[in-house]
Amino acid sequence: MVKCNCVSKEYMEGGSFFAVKEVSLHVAKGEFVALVGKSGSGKSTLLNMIGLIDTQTAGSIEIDGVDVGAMNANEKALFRNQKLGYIFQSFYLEPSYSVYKNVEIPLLIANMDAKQRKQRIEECLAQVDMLHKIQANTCDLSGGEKQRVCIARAIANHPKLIIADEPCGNLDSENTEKIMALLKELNKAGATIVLVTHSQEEALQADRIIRLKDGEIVQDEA
Amino acid sequence: MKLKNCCYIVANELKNSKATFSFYLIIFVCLLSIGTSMLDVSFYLPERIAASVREMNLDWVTVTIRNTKQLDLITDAYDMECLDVWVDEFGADALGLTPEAGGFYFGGVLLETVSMENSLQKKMAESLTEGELITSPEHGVYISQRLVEEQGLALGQKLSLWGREGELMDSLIIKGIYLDSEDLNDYYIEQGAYEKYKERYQNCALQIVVRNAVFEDVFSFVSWADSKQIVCSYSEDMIGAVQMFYIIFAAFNLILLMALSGILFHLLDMYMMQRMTFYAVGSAIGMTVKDIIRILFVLSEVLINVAVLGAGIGAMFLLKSVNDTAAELFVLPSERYVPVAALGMNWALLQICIVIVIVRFHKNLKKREIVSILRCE
Amino acid sequence: MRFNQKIGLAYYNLTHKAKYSVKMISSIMLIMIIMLYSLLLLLGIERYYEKLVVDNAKENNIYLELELDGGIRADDRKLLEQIQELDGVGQPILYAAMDLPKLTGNESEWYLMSDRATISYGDNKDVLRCVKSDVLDVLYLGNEGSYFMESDKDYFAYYYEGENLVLTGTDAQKSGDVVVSDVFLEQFGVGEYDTLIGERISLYIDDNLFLDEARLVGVYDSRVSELAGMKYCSPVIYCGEQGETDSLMIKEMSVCIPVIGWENAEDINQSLETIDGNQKTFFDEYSAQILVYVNRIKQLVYYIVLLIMIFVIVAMFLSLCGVLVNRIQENTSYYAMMRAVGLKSRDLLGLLHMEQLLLLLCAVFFTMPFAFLGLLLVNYLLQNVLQAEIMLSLVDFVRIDLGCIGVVYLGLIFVTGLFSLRSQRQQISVLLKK
Repeated sequence: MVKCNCVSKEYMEGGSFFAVKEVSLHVAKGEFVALVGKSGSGKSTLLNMIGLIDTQTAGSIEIDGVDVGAMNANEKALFRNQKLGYIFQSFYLEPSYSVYKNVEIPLLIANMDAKQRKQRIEECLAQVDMLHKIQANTCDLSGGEKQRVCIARAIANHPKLIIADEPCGNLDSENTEKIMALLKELNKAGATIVLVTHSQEEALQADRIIRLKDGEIVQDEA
Repeated sequence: MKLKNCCYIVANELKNSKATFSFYLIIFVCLLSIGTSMLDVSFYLPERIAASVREMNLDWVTVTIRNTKQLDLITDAYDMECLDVWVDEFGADALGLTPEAGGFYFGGVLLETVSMENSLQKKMAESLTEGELITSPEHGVYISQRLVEEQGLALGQKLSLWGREGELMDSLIIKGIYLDSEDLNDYYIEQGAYEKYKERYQNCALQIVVRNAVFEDVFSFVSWADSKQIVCSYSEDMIGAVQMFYIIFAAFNLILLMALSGILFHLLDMYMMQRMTFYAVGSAIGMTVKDIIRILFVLSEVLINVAVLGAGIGAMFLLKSVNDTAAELFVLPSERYVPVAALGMNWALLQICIVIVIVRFHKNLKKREIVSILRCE
Repeated sequence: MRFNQKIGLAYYNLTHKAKYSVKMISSIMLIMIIMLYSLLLLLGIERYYEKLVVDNAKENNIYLELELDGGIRADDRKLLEQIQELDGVGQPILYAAMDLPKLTGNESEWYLMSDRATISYGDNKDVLRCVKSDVLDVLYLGNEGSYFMESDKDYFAYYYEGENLVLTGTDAQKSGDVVVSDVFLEQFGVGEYDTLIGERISLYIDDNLFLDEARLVGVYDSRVSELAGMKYCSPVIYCGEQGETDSLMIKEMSVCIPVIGWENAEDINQSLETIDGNQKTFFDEYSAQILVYVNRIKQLVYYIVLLIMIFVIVAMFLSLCGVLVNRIQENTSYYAMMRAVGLKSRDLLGLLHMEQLLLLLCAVFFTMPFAFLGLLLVNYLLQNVLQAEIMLSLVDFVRIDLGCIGVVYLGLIFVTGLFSLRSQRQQISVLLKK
């Protein structure tokens, strides 16, 4: 599903610095991979590059057999909409929109018609157990509820790959368990998940743990 | 993303930021109303005022020339109309007449070979009660009814043209008698006689009352004449007052234009700044730069078109008010109408502003990495 | 929190988000520039039209030829009183042509020749005798001022291509001053007119003292009398006291009553037609017409400009409030955080006020060059395009700037007050979430 070949991210500000240094990894379809490491280890940077919201300075990335390096901005956007689903640590839900409208955004981008959108939104919210709050304003939700809405948004377009950047970073243990269970369910349903976390407990939920240190993979174990 | 979906997002945006957009819409409608009114008024009001100035004969210019070359210079540069011609030193003495106690006679010259519309000759032809305008070898003079009554003159009689020192300059035959008029002098000698007089007195100046065929030309004409050292006399106050009228509209239209485009830029800029995170997340989930630009464009169009509609209504009331005031002051007909042309021009101008803003945002969005926006939050 | 700490923190907040602050400053600058340019233009327009109307009004006079019957006739005196009662007329200026033959006891003669006159001047009483005889006439000017009007001088200059009507000295006379024509001096053999300016001269006719030690203040060009439409100018114009006319032998007397109230030109014209049945008065209807017309244009312009100003000021004031409100909204969570860590509401308001004020001061500082450019543009328009001899001064500029800054500061106070009212009602926890 995901093939990274000697991917590097170099920053030139105040001298050369590698956030990610010649990382090669392969994520199979349907796999649940956790990227772990301390702060500054490059896990989020690597995740951003896989998620096409950052560009590598060296190496190549293939997602679902497609070399994403050759894509222009519009092609990447389309790819993100159709093939990827994003779950952010800070949720990035629009506070002035309702739950319904937040989940609707990727479906609008995908040009789905109104009836189909409604149906799909209800399906996604049901899947994350947020259907009862479909018209609620997101600023009135708890952290866990917000993250579930975020997941609903991420899965709205049936993505092949789900990118989760510390989804439980702002949540308590109870909500963390719920979110991780949800992710496992999605994985069982066939989605490939790449998760970034600094929590060992969360990482253990994954099929495979890849440990990063100073931008390099130091451990890769199932 | 389809345009329909862009419009859907725009509707959401407008709904969620009602207060902000309404607030700025009020400002927009204020400025656009007054801008449209002023633009519309500037299309017709200065001309109407100028026309009424013309009707009251307040737009003439008296040019003092000492040779016909100066006159040719004027007619080459401007389309003019000749209203009257006189010579200061042509009074009673020039014809050897003695006016009644306390009286004065003012004499002029009937120019024939002037290359401009000769209203003086036309007026003379219309006012003649006896005789006619004829060209003959003998130099002639046309006299007013007043001169006939006071001096006992008659058609065909001979008069002498005397110089400054009392010497005989020419013999003139009375070729015509015309009705007294405020617009005409007491007598007019033919151009040939004047030219003969001029051979002897080369510094004899001719005062020609002219008028520009196009009223607005008078502003540039007086400056031009000044630069050519042609002495002009005109109602500076009247001409200046009307000229200022034109300038006011030009200047304020420019200021309002600046204000409108500035507010538009500021509004869109502020909106983008506030919603950058939203659009960054949108990009992360598949929105392209083009989609964002399309949303911004639709949003701008909605704002502009609503503002234009509101301004149209506002401008109608403002125009009625201005028209009523002008009608009261200048006895002009007062009308009420929709300022379509001005609205259209302002609308077109705002479209240009939108295009400039969109192009700018397009460049900015293309330059920025999405992750840097999300990272800043 | 101390005052200097507030300033320091406000300064830090603004510089920390420099890009945003620059955007705010540029928005405020745009608003101020538009307001300033509008106000400068408005002041220029106002000055221009006022000058037009006032200048025109100065040339607008009612003339009355008085018939004499041993003195001013009763009906003429009554007419003069009626005219003076009209609204908008000024003090009458009296001109009297003195009857020299009667004054010298030569009643049978129509006029006197200058060879019967002698002039003595200076401390040594040097005597000048007539070398070239011509008609001698003395005009009595009943009021201090000038016999010649600006329009007379302008007409002379335009006809004689830039030459001055007053050859030397001045035509402005005080009581006891005399102005003479160049020809008059030449009749007494004086070629260098400057030599007599300032001297006290006495005029004798048939060896009888006629004018005693009148100060010669100016010499005028006698060619002015040749110009068509010009009033007759005596070779000697003497300025005396108004009451003196009763004791002098007057041949002709005329009065010039200036119309100073330009609004009344039309009314005055109509009133004159009513009170002056014999049509003794002369009022230049043409000038009055121009005056009335210019005044109408002025009224229309003022009305239009007033409309523009109201809308522009309201729109700019609202824009400014929008800019400031936007700034506050952007920093809502920051202000909530400050309150959460213990900053008092009053101090927070003070901090907010300081930030806004610093923004405003920066904007004012950078706006000044543009505003000054606006002043130069308006002055260029007035002087070079319209050729009006007026311009806006630095005092006007400062007044307009202060007014504009006042309006902007008012906006600042308004917005800060609004914020204060709103934030007091909301919980800190709610504000922190924003």
